[in-house]
Amino acid sequence: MTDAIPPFLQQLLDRGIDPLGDARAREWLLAHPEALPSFAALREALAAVAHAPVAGKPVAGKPVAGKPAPVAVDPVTNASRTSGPLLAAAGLIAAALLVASGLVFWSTNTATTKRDATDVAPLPRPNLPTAGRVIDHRVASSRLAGSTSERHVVTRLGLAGVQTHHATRAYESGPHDRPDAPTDHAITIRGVTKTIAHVLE
Amino acid sequence: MPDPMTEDRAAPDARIQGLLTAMERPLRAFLRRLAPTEIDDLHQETLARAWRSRHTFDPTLGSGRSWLLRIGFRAFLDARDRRSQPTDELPDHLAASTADPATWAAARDDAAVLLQRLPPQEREILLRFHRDGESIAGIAVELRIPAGTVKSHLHRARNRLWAAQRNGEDR
Repeated sequence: MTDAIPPFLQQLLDRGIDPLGDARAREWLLAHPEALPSFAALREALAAVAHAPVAGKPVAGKPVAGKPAPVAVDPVTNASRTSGPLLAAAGLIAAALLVASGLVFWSTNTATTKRDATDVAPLPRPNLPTAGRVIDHRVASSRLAGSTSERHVVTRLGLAGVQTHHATRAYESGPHDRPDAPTDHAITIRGVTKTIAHVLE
Repeated sequence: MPDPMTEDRAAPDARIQGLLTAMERPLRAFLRRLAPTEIDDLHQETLARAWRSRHTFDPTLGSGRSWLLRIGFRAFLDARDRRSQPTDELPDHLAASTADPATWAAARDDAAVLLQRLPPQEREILLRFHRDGESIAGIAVELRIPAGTVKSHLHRARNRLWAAQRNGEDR
């Protein structure tokens, strides 16, 4: 019965809601204590995933699970294997054109991107594992300006104290507003993180 | 000649004592995952509650393990609710509290191992959603796959994390 996560718990997680803040989820867990170890472990794993570094930025010299590298397809060698040297040359030209167009795009310094400009740095997040009061956490927008990338983040927190404190220190936070809070005890922090030369912290 | 009343009381007491002893490690592992900074307090509270309510334990209604985990979970929820005070400012002693670095590092390493076991697409979608804060719709657009497919991958990845714990839940 608890071999898989119940659909309503999945839906809560899809909406970025901590199941511990949901009355129905709490009741379900209390009624299914055999699922409690799996739930606790899942919650811990997701908290760790939230802090997982991206590829190329290992922690303490250990191999880490970051963003999976895209499947490597070398346009030259791949073409050479399959279609001969003519296609290889065409691939080389196409790759050169791609690089050139990318340089032109970058040099405008006005590109507003969703992720590409800031992929190399993990988004600082509140200390989720301490009490798990993060209700929602989203990147609202990212903007590249020269060597500085700027991300607008929105974090909705339960007022568990520790998380709130860490969040306000982690971000150049804007005013706390409560009107759209989904629970009685929540705030929304709108903040900006700036990454100089793509190196955070 | 033994007093039957004393014997009746002693039998469940011994059973609960045995249960608390046998369950110490998995109970602490469970509580550590829920609240690493409060494990000792929660463990003590769980043992105290279990002992106080030992006469309510009925093995015909469920295992001792489930009974004890439920008590521990209630203790955790109560402590969590007590912490949720409606204020934006923190007392200094709370602000100084942080997760134990060693515990947090172990959790992160475990998560890294689990992530590596996921199929690549599930791993990427899980990271985009839970680490990068992307929406399901946004991931679907970027990966050029239907949002329903993104959700399916995400749910499967979470189910794998959920199921993976059975092998090492007593960490």
